[in-house]
Amino acid sequence: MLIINKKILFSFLFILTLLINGCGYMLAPKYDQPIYTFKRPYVSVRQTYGEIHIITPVQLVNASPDYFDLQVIKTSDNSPIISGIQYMVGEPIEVYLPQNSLSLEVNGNTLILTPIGRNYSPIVFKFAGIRYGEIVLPHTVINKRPAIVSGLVSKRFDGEPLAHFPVAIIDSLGNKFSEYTNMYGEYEIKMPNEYFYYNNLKIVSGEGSPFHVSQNNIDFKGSFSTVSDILVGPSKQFMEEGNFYIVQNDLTHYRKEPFNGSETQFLLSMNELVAVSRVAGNRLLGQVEVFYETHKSVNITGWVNAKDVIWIGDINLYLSGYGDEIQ
Amino acid sequence: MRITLIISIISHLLFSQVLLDINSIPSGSTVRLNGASIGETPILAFKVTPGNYTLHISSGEYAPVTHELFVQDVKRVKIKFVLNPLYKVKFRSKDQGLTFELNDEHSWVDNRIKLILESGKHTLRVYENGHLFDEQIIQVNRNMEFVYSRQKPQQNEILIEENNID
Repeated sequence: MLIINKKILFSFLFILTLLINGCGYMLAPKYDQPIYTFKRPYVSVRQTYGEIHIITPVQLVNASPDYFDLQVIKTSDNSPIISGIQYMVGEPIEVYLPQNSLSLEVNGNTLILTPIGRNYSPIVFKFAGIRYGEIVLPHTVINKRPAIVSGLVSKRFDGEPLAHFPVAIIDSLGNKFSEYTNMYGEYEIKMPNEYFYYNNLKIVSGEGSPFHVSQNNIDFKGSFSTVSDILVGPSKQFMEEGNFYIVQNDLTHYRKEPFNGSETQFLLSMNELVAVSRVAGNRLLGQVEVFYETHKSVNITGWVNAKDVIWIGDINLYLSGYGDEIQ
Repeated sequence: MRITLIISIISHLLFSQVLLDINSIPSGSTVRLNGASIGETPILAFKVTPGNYTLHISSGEYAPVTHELFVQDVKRVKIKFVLNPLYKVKFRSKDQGLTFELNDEHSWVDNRIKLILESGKHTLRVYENGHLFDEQIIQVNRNMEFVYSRQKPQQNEILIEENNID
């Protein structure tokens, strides 16, 4: 019994020794606090500035300055924040400034918008700034007196007014202001104030109509409103020539002689009338009426190619029908 | 005039707010701003005024971070931390009667001890009878066991053993 007990005891002690040696950290103490290095962790810092967006809505009525000039200053000492920015007409007038560049005081900042052109005054806005964000200034309307051209469009040969007739004013840059006559043949074209000072305006009438397009100069004669009556079509005397052909295309040669290569006297425009007196093969001999003043004209004889014109028959019927459906 | 100026200054300070974004790896870390808890990362668009702040970031198994932040008068500040992890390290010495010291600050005399160490390099000094006789650099980058022996290593023998424990 004692031997058996000793065997059990030694086995138990042996197993216990193995356990203690194998799991030695079970009874090991734990250090009471974490131990840190002096190593700095990775830290990334980014500071982002905003911006200030100033919007200046401007509406032009009968005005067309060359461009706008903008500057922003501090009201207290007139020190510039930004200056010399230019905007074309039609371009949105907006400016971007760095954050904190404006004064936060009431009326601490002044925006001066100057239209560049004849007889324009600067537009001044006083406002409080913000650190960043959007500022929309009050809507401004620049209203100027328009330059007006008005008149009556009528047929030359009988004086009847022409309703719904196209009339346009064109400047040297090709800018165009178009209108149609009313049921009484009257028209009125309003243009920006600046056009009063232009001396190269032309009034063009008849584009897209069965009439030959006519063109005259405009002279305001010192007044913002001027009258320019327009006569279209042939004179009564020319109507008596008869046998009319109408030119089909612009830049049609009107020659001195019937043969190819003969001298071109001038070029005819679309819808010009040729009173033909003789047909020779594919060439036509006739006359065109050329006005050198409103009521003064000459008839010039020449030759056209038959393919460039078309016979219109009864000219009265051809011309008198225009505008009737409008009335 | 003076009242207007004062109101203007106060308004400027009141409305001069900066948006603060705080992010961290790992996410879900607790953030304290000037001692006050403001939540867990990621924190987006927390409004502060320009000035100096003390940020404290902590997360369970990572070393906490204290960072001094100067917020300028800007629109937005984004700050990101990558915290250093903590590892479980079992330290055992083959020799008796030694005193161990880590990073000039933490010391023990036990032959076996369980430590929580931040990842990175730690300086271990070994003393016997108050005299320094050894200094080592311990690189911690995972849970592991360090076994120290004072005997000089023979050829092909290492002085400090590193064993993986997971």
